[in-house]
Amino acid sequence: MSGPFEPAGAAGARSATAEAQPSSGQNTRSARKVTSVKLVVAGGFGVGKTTFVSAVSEIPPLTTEAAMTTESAGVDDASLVTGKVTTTVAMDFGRITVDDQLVMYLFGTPGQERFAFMWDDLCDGALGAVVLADTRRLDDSFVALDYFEARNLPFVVGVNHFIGSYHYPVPEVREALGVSPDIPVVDCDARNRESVKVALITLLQHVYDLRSAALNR
Amino acid sequence: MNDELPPRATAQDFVRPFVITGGRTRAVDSSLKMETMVQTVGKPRDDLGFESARIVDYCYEPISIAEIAAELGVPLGVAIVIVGDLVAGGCLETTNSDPVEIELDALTRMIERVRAL
Repeated sequence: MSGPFEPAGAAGARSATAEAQPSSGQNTRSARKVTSVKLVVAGGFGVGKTTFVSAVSEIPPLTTEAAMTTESAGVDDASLVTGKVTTTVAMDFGRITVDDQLVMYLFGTPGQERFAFMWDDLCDGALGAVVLADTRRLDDSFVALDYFEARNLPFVVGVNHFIGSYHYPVPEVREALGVSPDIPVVDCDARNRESVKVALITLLQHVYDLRSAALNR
Repeated sequence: MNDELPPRATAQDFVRPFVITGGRTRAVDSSLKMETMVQTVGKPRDDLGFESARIVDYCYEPISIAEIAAELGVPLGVAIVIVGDLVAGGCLETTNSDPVEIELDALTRMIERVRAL
């Protein structure tokens, strides 16, 4: 059914392009090594995480549900979980195919703070995170900032400007958020693809800089 | 103990998700994650269950477990358990990525790719 893997350029719209391709790879059944990279988009409820993902994803954002059970909610902190948890949280995610060996996935965190307990699954194995902050509700992003700082997960802050909200300069937002000077803070309009690209590149560059600094140490 | 009747079943909850996995919530392979890449290997089989067969059909090109879950419309945990069974049965191979192993070259490729979007 599926044709050969379509790397960058075909924009990877899997279902749309796959059938149209000649299936030269159909006889080979040995796995081709494709590495995935997970990036996390975090921030408070309604800050534009899914909009951010859809701005750069080559597929319309997909939703996957994680059915939360007491078992998967973290063994160390049983106090958080009383009795049987039957919550289902939905995570939106998108994909950017880098080339035939590398795929990036962008996962939006479930918005509400009460779902922060499932961030462990989400952030385990992640390369880095973009924390979206809404200048009208900056404190909504504190949960994410604290979490990533505690986990030593590289992150950058994208300040999402909403129509009608006062445009605070980045230095002021940085101060209000209390993030350390080495954390990049950029303006980010989640509805604007170029703006989202800048935020994403800032994160990847930040990870790059941390890596190369560690190598030269 | 409880005199109340259970709530009437709706179409949506008629098959509870983990019924598909025989009630198991953990995969035989605990390294499987939402971003683990999965690909079908080996010869086609006709002895697989409905969900398993769909996954095998879906994974001829490498794809993440999260996408499998979305495609099948099952929770992530269910997809992980079934994929684990299929890996153990030799139908699928997986590639797990450790972010520590992502090299500078890969980061450069990612940056270039996003820039070109």
